[in-house]
Amino acid sequence: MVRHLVGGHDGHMTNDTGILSAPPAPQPWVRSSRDARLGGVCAGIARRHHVDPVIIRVLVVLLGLSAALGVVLYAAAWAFWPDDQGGRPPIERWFPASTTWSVQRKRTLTIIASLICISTFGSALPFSLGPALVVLVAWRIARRQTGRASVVQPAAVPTIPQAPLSPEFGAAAYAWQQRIDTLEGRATPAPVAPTWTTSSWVTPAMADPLGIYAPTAPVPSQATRRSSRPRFVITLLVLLIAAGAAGLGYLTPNTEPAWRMAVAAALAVIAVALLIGARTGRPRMLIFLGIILSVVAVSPTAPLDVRFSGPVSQAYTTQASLPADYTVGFTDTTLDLSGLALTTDATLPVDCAASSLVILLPAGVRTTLTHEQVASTLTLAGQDTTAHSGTWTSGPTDNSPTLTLQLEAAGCEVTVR
Amino acid sequence: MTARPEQRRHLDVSSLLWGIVFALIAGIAGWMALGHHVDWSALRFTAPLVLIALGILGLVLSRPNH
Repeated sequence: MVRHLVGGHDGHMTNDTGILSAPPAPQPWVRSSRDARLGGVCAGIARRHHVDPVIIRVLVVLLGLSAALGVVLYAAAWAFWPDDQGGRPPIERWFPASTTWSVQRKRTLTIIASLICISTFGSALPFSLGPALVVLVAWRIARRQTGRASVVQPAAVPTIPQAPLSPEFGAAAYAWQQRIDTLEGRATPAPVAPTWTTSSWVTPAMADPLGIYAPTAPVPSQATRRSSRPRFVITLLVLLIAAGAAGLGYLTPNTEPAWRMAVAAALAVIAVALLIGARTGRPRMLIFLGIILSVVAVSPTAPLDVRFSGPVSQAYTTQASLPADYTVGFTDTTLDLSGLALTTDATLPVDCAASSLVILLPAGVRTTLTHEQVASTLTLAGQDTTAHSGTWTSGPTDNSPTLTLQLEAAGCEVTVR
Repeated sequence: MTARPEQRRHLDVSSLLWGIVFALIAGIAGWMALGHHVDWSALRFTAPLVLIALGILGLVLSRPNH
Protein backbone atom coordinates (compact mmCIF):
# COMPACT_ATOMS: atom_id res chain seq x y z
CA MET A 1 0.00 0.00 0.00
CA VAL A 2 1.31 3.37 -0.89
CA ARG A 3 1.18 5.94 1.85
CA HIS A 4 0.48 9.43 0.65
CA LEU A 5 2.23 12.16 2.50
CA VAL A 6 1.23 15.72 1.90
CA GLY A 7 3.43 18.58 2.93
CA GLY A 8 1.57 21.62 4.14
CA HIS A 9 2.76 25.09 3.49
CA ASP A 10 3.85 25.42 7.07
CA GLY A 11 6.25 22.52 6.77
CA HIS A 12 4.09 20.02 8.70
CA MET A 13 3.54 16.55 7.25
CA THR A 14 0.09 15.03 7.35
CA ASN A 15 -0.97 11.56 6.31
CA ASP A 16 -4.25 10.39 4.76
CA THR A 17 -6.15 10.87 7.97
CA GLY A 18 -4.92 14.41 8.39
CA ILE A 19 -3.16 13.55 11.68
CA LEU A 20 -0.25 15.83 12.39
CA SER A 21 3.03 13.97 12.49
CA ALA A 22 6.17 14.99 14.38
CA PRO A 23 6.74 18.76 14.29
CA PRO A 24 9.48 19.89 11.99
CA ALA A 25 12.76 21.29 13.20
CA PRO A 26 12.66 25.09 13.67
CA GLN A 27 13.84 27.03 10.68
CA PRO A 28 17.13 28.90 11.13
CA TRP A 29 17.28 32.66 11.49
CA VAL A 30 18.23 34.03 8.10
CA ARG A 31 17.94 37.28 6.24
CA SER A 32 15.67 37.28 3.24
CA SER A 33 17.34 38.49 0.08
CA ARG A 34 14.23 38.30 -2.06
CA ASP A 35 11.86 40.82 -0.49
CA ALA A 36 14.37 42.83 1.52
CA ARG A 37 13.79 46.54 1.98
CA LEU A 38 16.99 47.35 3.86
CA GLY A 39 18.92 44.38 5.17
CA GLY A 40 16.32 41.64 4.82
CA VAL A 41 16.05 41.07 8.57
CA CYS A 42 12.33 41.89 8.88
CA ALA A 43 11.49 39.86 5.80
CA GLY A 44 13.48 36.93 7.20
CA ILE A 45 11.65 37.06 10.52
CA ALA A 46 8.31 37.35 8.72
CA ARG A 47 9.02 34.36 6.54
CA ARG A 48 10.13 32.30 9.54
CA HIS A 49 6.92 33.04 11.42
CA HIS A 50 4.61 33.19 8.38
CA VAL A 51 3.43 36.74 8.97
CA ASP A 52 3.29 39.83 6.81
CA PRO A 53 6.72 41.55 6.69
CA VAL A 54 4.99 44.90 7.17
CA ILE A 55 3.98 43.84 10.69
CA ILE A 56 7.57 43.03 11.58
CA ARG A 57 8.75 46.32 10.12
CA VAL A 58 6.24 48.25 12.21
CA LEU A 59 7.40 46.41 15.34
CA VAL A 60 11.03 47.18 14.57
CA VAL A 61 10.20 50.87 14.11
CA LEU A 62 8.45 50.84 17.48
CA LEU A 63 11.53 49.23 18.99
CA GLY A 64 13.60 51.94 17.36
CA LEU A 65 11.63 54.53 19.32
CA SER A 66 12.55 52.68 22.51
CA ALA A 67 15.94 54.23 23.15
CA ALA A 68 16.91 53.18 19.61
CA LEU A 69 16.81 49.58 20.78
CA GLY A 70 15.38 48.46 17.44
CA VAL A 71 18.36 49.91 15.61
CA VAL A 72 20.80 47.90 17.70
CA LEU A 73 18.82 44.66 17.43
CA TYR A 74 18.35 45.13 13.69
CA ALA A 75 22.06 45.80 13.22
CA ALA A 76 22.96 42.75 15.31
CA ALA A 77 20.61 40.52 13.33
CA TRP A 78 21.93 41.89 10.07
CA ALA A 79 25.53 41.29 11.16
CA PHE A 80 25.09 37.83 12.67
CA TRP A 81 22.53 36.17 10.38
CA PRO A 82 23.38 34.59 7.02
CA ASP A 83 21.15 35.24 4.05
CA ASP A 84 18.76 32.68 2.64
CA GLN A 85 20.91 32.20 -0.45
CA GLY A 86 23.63 30.53 1.60
CA GLY A 87 25.78 33.63 2.01
CA ARG A 88 27.88 34.07 5.13
CA PRO A 89 26.92 36.57 7.82
CA PRO A 90 28.47 40.00 7.18
CA ILE A 91 30.45 39.88 10.42
CA GLU A 92 32.16 36.68 9.28
CA ARG A 93 33.16 38.38 6.05
CA TRP A 94 34.62 41.35 7.91
CA PHE A 95 36.06 39.45 10.88
CA PRO A 96 36.87 35.88 9.87
CA ALA A 97 37.78 35.13 13.48
CA SER A 98 34.11 35.49 14.40
CA THR A 99 33.27 32.19 12.70
CA THR A 100 34.26 30.47 15.93
CA TRP A 101 31.98 32.62 18.06
CA SER A 102 29.28 30.74 19.89
CA VAL A 103 25.66 31.78 19.86
CA GLN A 104 26.00 32.68 23.53
CA ARG A 105 28.80 35.12 22.79
CA LYS A 106 26.79 36.77 20.03
CA ARG A 107 23.83 37.12 22.36
CA THR A 108 26.06 38.61 25.04
CA LEU A 109 27.47 41.18 22.63
CA THR A 110 23.97 42.09 21.51
CA ILE A 111 22.80 42.53 25.09
CA ILE A 112 25.81 44.70 25.95
CA ALA A 113 25.22 46.86 22.87
CA SER A 114 21.54 47.17 23.80
CA LEU A 115 22.37 48.27 27.33
CA ILE A 116 24.82 50.86 26.05
CA CYS A 117 22.20 52.09 23.62
CA ILE A 118 19.55 52.36 26.34
CA SER A 119 21.86 54.26 28.66
CA THR A 120 22.91 56.60 25.85
CA PHE A 121 19.62 57.33 24.10
CA GLY A 122 17.20 56.56 26.91
CA SER A 123 17.03 60.20 27.95
CA ALA A 124 17.15 61.58 24.42
CA LEU A 125 13.95 59.93 23.18
CA PRO A 126 10.73 60.76 24.98
CA PHE A 127 9.16 57.31 24.84
CA SER A 128 11.60 55.44 27.07
CA LEU A 129 10.96 51.68 26.90
CA GLY A 130 7.18 52.01 26.44
CA PRO A 131 7.14 51.00 22.76
CA ALA A 132 9.35 48.02 23.58
CA LEU A 133 6.77 46.81 26.11
CA VAL A 134 4.03 47.22 23.49
CA VAL A 135 6.10 45.18 21.05
CA LEU A 136 6.71 42.51 23.67
CA VAL A 137 2.99 42.17 24.45
CA ALA A 138 2.09 42.15 20.74
CA TRP A 139 4.71 39.51 20.08
CA ARG A 140 3.41 37.28 22.88
CA ILE A 141 -0.13 37.58 21.56
CA ALA A 142 1.02 36.84 18.02
CA ARG A 143 2.96 33.78 19.17
CA ARG A 144 -0.09 32.51 21.05
CA GLN A 145 -2.27 33.02 17.97
CA THR A 146 0.31 31.24 15.84
CA GLY A 147 0.32 28.32 18.28
CA ARG A 148 -3.47 28.00 18.04
CA ALA A 149 -3.31 28.21 14.27
CA SER A 150 -0.80 25.36 14.14
CA VAL A 151 -3.18 23.11 16.14
CA VAL A 152 -6.06 23.60 13.72
CA GLN A 153 -3.78 23.63 10.70
CA PRO A 154 -4.09 19.89 9.80
CA ALA A 155 -7.80 20.19 9.10
CA ALA A 156 -7.17 23.16 6.87
CA VAL A 157 -4.39 21.56 4.85
CA PRO A 158 -5.81 20.37 1.54
CA THR A 159 -5.12 16.76 0.68
CA ILE A 160 -4.82 14.98 -2.61
CA PRO A 161 -8.18 13.52 -3.67
CA GLN A 162 -8.21 9.96 -2.39
CA ALA A 163 -10.34 7.84 -4.69
CA PRO A 164 -10.35 6.79 -7.30
CA LEU A 165 -6.63 7.18 -8.01
CA SER A 166 -5.85 7.60 -11.65
CA PRO A 167 -3.99 4.66 -13.21
CA GLU A 168 -1.11 6.90 -14.16
CA PHE A 169 -0.63 8.18 -10.63
CA GLY A 170 -0.94 4.64 -9.26
CA ALA A 171 1.73 3.42 -11.60
CA ALA A 172 4.08 6.21 -10.62
CA ALA A 173 3.43 5.61 -6.94
CA TYR A 174 4.04 1.89 -7.38
CA ALA A 175 7.36 2.55 -9.11
CA TRP A 176 8.34 4.91 -6.29
CA GLN A 177 7.45 2.35 -3.64
CA GLN A 178 9.32 -0.36 -5.54
CA ARG A 179 12.44 1.74 -5.67
CA ILE A 180 12.25 2.40 -1.94
CA ASP A 181 11.77 -1.30 -1.21
CA THR A 182 14.74 -2.17 -3.41
CA LEU A 183 16.96 0.27 -1.56
CA GLU A 184 15.78 -1.02 1.82
CA GLY A 185 16.07 -4.70 0.78
CA ARG A 186 12.39 -5.55 1.11
CA ALA A 187 10.35 -7.75 -1.21
CA THR A 188 7.92 -5.92 -3.38
CA PRO A 189 4.55 -7.43 -4.27
CA ALA A 190 4.01 -8.30 -7.87
CA PRO A 191 3.18 -5.32 -10.01
CA VAL A 192 -0.25 -4.82 -11.36
CA ALA A 193 1.21 -5.06 -14.83
CA PRO A 194 0.96 -1.49 -15.86
CA THR A 195 1.11 -0.79 -19.50
CA TRP A 196 3.95 1.66 -20.08
CA THR A 197 2.79 3.75 -22.93
CA THR A 198 3.19 7.44 -23.42
CA SER A 199 -0.43 7.87 -22.47
CA SER A 200 0.34 6.54 -18.98
CA TRP A 201 3.07 9.02 -18.23
CA VAL A 202 2.47 11.10 -15.16
CA THR A 203 2.49 14.77 -15.90
CA PRO A 204 3.77 17.25 -13.31
CA ALA A 205 0.25 18.53 -12.81
CA MET A 206 -0.99 15.00 -11.97
CA ALA A 207 1.90 14.14 -9.67
CA ASP A 208 1.80 17.51 -7.87
CA PRO A 209 -1.77 18.78 -8.13
CA LEU A 210 -1.27 21.25 -5.27
CA GLY A 211 1.86 22.81 -6.68
CA ILE A 212 3.78 22.07 -3.51
CA TYR A 213 6.93 21.13 -5.36
CA ALA A 214 6.70 23.87 -7.94
CA PRO A 215 10.01 25.51 -8.72
CA THR A 216 10.78 28.63 -6.79
CA ALA A 217 11.40 32.02 -8.30
CA PRO A 218 14.54 32.06 -10.40
CA VAL A 219 17.70 33.45 -8.88
CA PRO A 220 18.99 36.50 -10.72
CA SER A 221 21.55 35.38 -13.23
CA GLN A 222 24.95 36.90 -13.78
CA ALA A 223 23.63 38.73 -16.80
CA THR A 224 20.90 40.28 -14.68
CA ARG A 225 23.44 41.41 -12.12
CA ARG A 226 25.52 43.00 -14.85
CA SER A 227 22.56 45.15 -15.80
CA SER A 228 22.79 46.92 -12.42
CA ARG A 229 26.29 48.18 -13.14
CA PRO A 230 25.08 51.52 -14.53
CA ARG A 231 23.78 52.25 -11.03
CA PHE A 232 27.36 52.37 -9.79
CA VAL A 233 28.10 54.97 -12.43
CA ILE A 234 25.09 56.96 -11.25
CA THR A 235 26.30 56.58 -7.67
CA LEU A 236 29.70 57.97 -8.59
CA LEU A 237 28.03 60.84 -10.40
CA VAL A 238 25.89 61.63 -7.36
CA LEU A 239 28.94 61.50 -5.10
CA LEU A 240 30.78 63.95 -7.34
CA ILE A 241 27.83 66.33 -7.30
CA ALA A 242 27.56 65.95 -3.51
CA ALA A 243 31.26 66.74 -3.12
CA GLY A 244 30.83 69.83 -5.24
CA ALA A 245 27.81 70.92 -3.22
CA ALA A 246 29.78 70.36 -0.02
CA GLY A 247 32.53 72.61 -1.31
CA LEU A 248 30.06 75.31 -2.18
CA GLY A 249 28.40 74.92 1.21
CA TYR A 250 31.73 75.28 2.95
CA LEU A 251 32.47 78.50 1.10
CA THR A 252 29.03 79.96 1.76
CA PRO A 253 29.46 83.18 3.77
CA ASN A 254 27.84 83.80 7.14
CA THR A 255 27.66 80.13 8.15
CA GLU A 256 28.82 78.89 11.50
CA PRO A 257 30.23 76.32 11.54
CA ALA A 258 31.08 76.03 7.86
CA TRP A 259 31.47 72.27 7.98
CA ARG A 260 27.84 71.82 8.98
CA MET A 261 26.66 73.71 5.92
CA ALA A 262 28.97 71.57 3.78
CA VAL A 263 27.55 68.35 5.20
CA ALA A 264 23.99 69.66 4.85
CA ALA A 265 24.58 70.50 1.19
CA ALA A 266 25.99 67.04 0.46
CA LEU A 267 23.12 65.43 2.32
CA ALA A 268 20.62 67.46 0.33
CA VAL A 269 22.13 66.19 -2.92
CA ILE A 270 21.85 62.61 -1.70
CA ALA A 271 18.25 63.23 -0.66
CA VAL A 272 17.35 64.55 -4.10
CA ALA A 273 19.12 61.60 -5.75
CA LEU A 274 17.12 59.17 -3.63
CA LEU A 275 13.85 60.93 -4.40
CA ILE A 276 14.60 60.74 -8.11
CA GLY A 277 15.84 57.17 -7.70
CA ALA A 278 12.52 56.16 -6.20
CA ARG A 279 11.20 56.28 -9.75
CA THR A 280 14.24 55.59 -11.89
CA GLY A 281 16.11 53.08 -9.71
CA ARG A 282 17.96 53.66 -6.48
CA PRO A 283 21.69 54.42 -6.82
CA ARG A 284 23.76 52.17 -4.60
CA MET A 285 25.21 53.00 -1.18
CA LEU A 286 23.41 56.34 -0.93
CA ILE A 287 21.25 55.33 2.02
CA PHE A 288 24.28 54.19 3.98
CA LEU A 289 26.16 57.37 3.13
CA GLY A 290 23.11 59.48 3.94
CA ILE A 291 22.80 57.96 7.40
CA ILE A 292 26.43 58.77 8.16
CA LEU A 293 26.08 62.34 6.91
CA SER A 294 22.86 62.77 8.89
CA VAL A 295 24.61 61.83 12.11
CA VAL A 296 27.48 64.18 11.32
CA ALA A 297 25.18 67.02 10.30
CA VAL A 298 23.49 67.28 13.68
CA SER A 299 26.24 65.88 15.87
CA PRO A 300 27.23 67.80 18.98
CA THR A 301 30.90 67.98 18.15
CA ALA A 302 33.47 70.52 19.22
CA PRO A 303 31.30 73.66 19.13
CA LEU A 304 28.68 71.84 21.26
CA ASP A 305 25.91 73.98 19.91
CA VAL A 306 23.34 71.19 19.73
CA ARG A 307 21.14 70.67 22.75
CA PHE A 308 18.17 68.45 23.33
CA SER A 309 16.60 70.68 25.97
CA GLY A 310 16.80 74.24 27.13
CA PRO A 311 19.28 75.62 29.64
CA VAL A 312 18.92 74.40 33.21
CA SER A 313 20.13 76.11 36.34
CA GLN A 314 20.32 74.27 39.64
CA ALA A 315 21.37 75.94 42.88
CA TYR A 316 22.21 74.36 46.25
CA THR A 317 22.69 76.50 49.33
CA THR A 318 22.65 74.01 52.20
CA GLN A 319 24.61 70.87 52.81
CA ALA A 320 21.44 68.87 53.45
CA SER A 321 20.04 69.74 50.03
CA LEU A 322 23.03 68.35 48.14
CA PRO A 323 22.05 65.28 46.10
CA ALA A 324 23.89 61.99 46.37
CA ASP A 325 24.77 62.19 42.69
CA TYR A 326 24.30 64.97 40.14
CA THR A 327 23.81 63.85 36.51
CA VAL A 328 23.77 66.07 33.42
CA GLY A 329 22.86 64.81 29.95
CA PHE A 330 22.17 66.53 26.62
CA THR A 331 21.55 69.95 28.07
CA ASP A 332 23.04 73.30 29.02
CA THR A 333 23.33 73.27 32.79
CA THR A 334 24.58 75.65 35.42
CA LEU A 335 25.33 74.05 38.77
CA ASP A 336 25.24 76.98 41.14
CA LEU A 337 27.07 76.24 44.40
CA SER A 338 28.09 79.85 45.02
CA GLY A 339 25.75 80.18 47.99
CA LEU A 340 26.57 76.81 49.53
CA ALA A 341 27.38 76.78 53.24
CA LEU A 342 29.13 73.73 54.72
CA THR A 343 29.40 72.62 58.33
CA THR A 344 31.34 69.45 57.61
CA ASP A 345 33.14 67.96 54.62
CA ALA A 346 30.88 67.05 51.71
CA THR A 347 31.31 65.08 48.49
CA LEU A 348 29.27 65.53 45.32
CA PRO A 349 29.79 63.19 42.33
CA VAL A 350 28.94 64.93 39.02
CA ASP A 351 28.37 62.88 35.87
CA CYS A 352 28.19 64.86 32.64
CA ALA A 353 27.45 63.50 29.14
CA ALA A 354 27.17 65.47 25.87
CA SER A 355 26.39 68.72 27.67
CA SER A 356 27.66 72.14 28.48
CA LEU A 357 28.15 72.45 32.24
CA VAL A 358 29.09 75.50 34.28
CA ILE A 359 29.93 74.94 37.95
CA LEU A 360 29.92 77.99 40.21
CA LEU A 361 32.03 77.23 43.28
CA PRO A 362 31.16 78.51 46.76
CA ALA A 363 33.11 81.51 47.91
CA GLY A 364 35.17 81.02 51.02
CA VAL A 365 34.88 77.22 50.96
CA ARG A 366 37.85 74.98 50.30
CA THR A 367 37.02 72.99 47.16
CA THR A 368 38.75 69.96 45.70
CA LEU A 369 37.86 68.88 42.18
CA THR A 370 38.84 65.46 40.87
CA HIS A 371 38.11 65.04 37.20
CA GLU A 372 38.15 62.33 34.56
CA GLN A 373 37.20 63.42 31.07
CA VAL A 374 36.76 61.83 27.68
CA ALA A 375 36.38 63.94 24.53
CA SER A 376 35.67 66.96 26.71
CA THR A 377 37.04 70.40 27.38
CA LEU A 378 37.59 71.57 30.96
CA THR A 379 38.22 75.14 32.01
CA LEU A 380 39.31 75.65 35.63
CA ALA A 381 39.19 79.27 36.79
CA GLY A 382 39.89 80.50 33.28
CA GLN A 383 42.63 77.97 32.55
CA ASP A 384 41.96 75.24 29.98
CA THR A 385 43.23 71.81 30.89
CA THR A 386 43.79 68.99 28.48
CA ALA A 387 44.61 66.34 31.08
CA HIS A 388 42.33 63.32 31.01
CA SER A 389 42.30 63.23 34.78
CA GLY A 390 43.62 65.19 37.71
CA THR A 391 42.91 67.05 40.92
CA TRP A 392 42.43 70.79 41.34
CA THR A 393 42.04 72.70 44.57
CA SER A 394 40.81 76.21 45.31
CA GLY A 395 39.72 78.27 48.27
CA PRO A 396 41.25 78.78 51.72
CA THR A 397 43.86 76.38 53.03
CA ASP A 398 42.78 76.35 56.66
CA ASN A 399 40.92 73.52 58.36
CA SER A 400 37.48 74.67 57.22
CA PRO A 401 35.05 72.11 55.74
CA THR A 402 36.00 70.88 52.27
CA LEU A 403 33.70 70.37 49.29
CA THR A 404 34.90 67.54 47.04
CA LEU A 405 33.54 67.44 43.50
CA GLN A 406 34.09 64.18 41.62
CA LEU A 407 33.59 65.12 37.98
CA GLU A 408 33.26 62.55 35.18
CA ALA A 409 32.68 64.10 31.75
CA ALA A 410 32.16 62.56 28.31
CA GLY A 411 31.60 64.78 25.30
CA CYS A 412 31.17 67.84 27.52
CA GLU A 413 32.27 71.42 27.78
CA VAL A 414 32.81 72.04 31.50
CA THR A 415 33.65 75.40 33.03
CA VAL A 416 34.48 75.73 36.73
CA ARG A 417 34.72 79.17 38.26
CA MET B 1 -1.06 31.06 -15.09
CA THR B 2 0.95 33.84 -16.62
CA ALA B 3 2.13 36.94 -14.83
CA ARG B 4 0.41 40.16 -15.73
CA PRO B 5 2.66 42.65 -17.44
CA GLU B 6 3.60 45.54 -15.19
CA GLN B 7 1.29 48.41 -15.96
CA ARG B 8 3.32 51.19 -14.40
CA ARG B 9 6.83 51.75 -13.23
CA HIS B 10 7.73 50.37 -9.81
CA LEU B 11 8.04 52.92 -7.00
CA ASP B 12 10.93 52.31 -4.61
CA VAL B 13 9.21 53.23 -1.35
CA SER B 14 12.25 52.90 0.88
CA SER B 15 14.26 55.17 -1.42
CA LEU B 16 11.44 57.71 -1.33
CA LEU B 17 11.20 57.68 2.46
CA TRP B 18 14.94 57.85 3.02
CA GLY B 19 15.09 60.75 0.59
CA ILE B 20 12.43 62.64 2.54
CA VAL B 21 14.18 61.96 5.86
CA PHE B 22 17.56 63.07 4.55
CA ALA B 23 16.02 66.19 3.03
CA LEU B 24 14.49 67.10 6.39
CA ILE B 25 17.77 66.54 8.24
CA ALA B 26 19.69 68.51 5.63
CA GLY B 27 17.22 71.33 6.06
CA ILE B 28 17.64 71.34 9.84
CA ALA B 29 21.43 71.23 9.57
CA GLY B 30 21.45 74.05 7.03
CA TRP B 31 19.13 76.09 9.23
CA MET B 32 21.50 75.60 12.16
CA ALA B 33 24.54 76.46 10.06
CA LEU B 34 22.95 79.75 9.07
CA GLY B 35 22.86 80.70 12.72
CA HIS B 36 19.19 80.17 13.40
CA HIS B 37 17.95 78.59 16.60
CA VAL B 38 16.55 75.07 16.53
CA ASP B 39 14.14 74.21 19.30
CA TRP B 40 15.34 70.72 20.18
CA SER B 41 12.88 70.34 23.03
CA ALA B 42 10.05 70.64 20.48
CA LEU B 43 11.87 68.55 17.91
CA ARG B 44 12.22 65.62 20.28
CA PHE B 45 8.45 65.23 20.10
CA THR B 46 7.84 66.22 16.51
CA ALA B 47 10.60 64.06 15.04
CA PRO B 48 9.04 60.74 16.20
CA LEU B 49 5.66 61.92 14.94
CA VAL B 50 7.16 62.71 11.54
CA LEU B 51 8.80 59.28 11.47
CA ILE B 52 5.50 57.62 12.33
CA ALA B 53 3.78 59.58 9.57
CA LEU B 54 6.46 58.51 7.13
CA GLY B 55 6.03 54.92 8.28
CA ILE B 56 2.31 55.11 7.60
CA LEU B 57 3.05 56.60 4.20
CA GLY B 58 5.43 53.73 3.53
CA LEU B 59 2.83 51.18 4.53
CA VAL B 60 0.25 52.75 2.24
CA LEU B 61 2.63 52.91 -0.69
CA SER B 62 3.87 49.35 -0.08
CA ARG B 63 0.43 47.83 -0.45
CA PRO B 64 0.32 45.42 -3.38
CA ASN B 65 -1.81 46.65 -6.25
CA HIS B 66 -4.32 43.96 -7.18
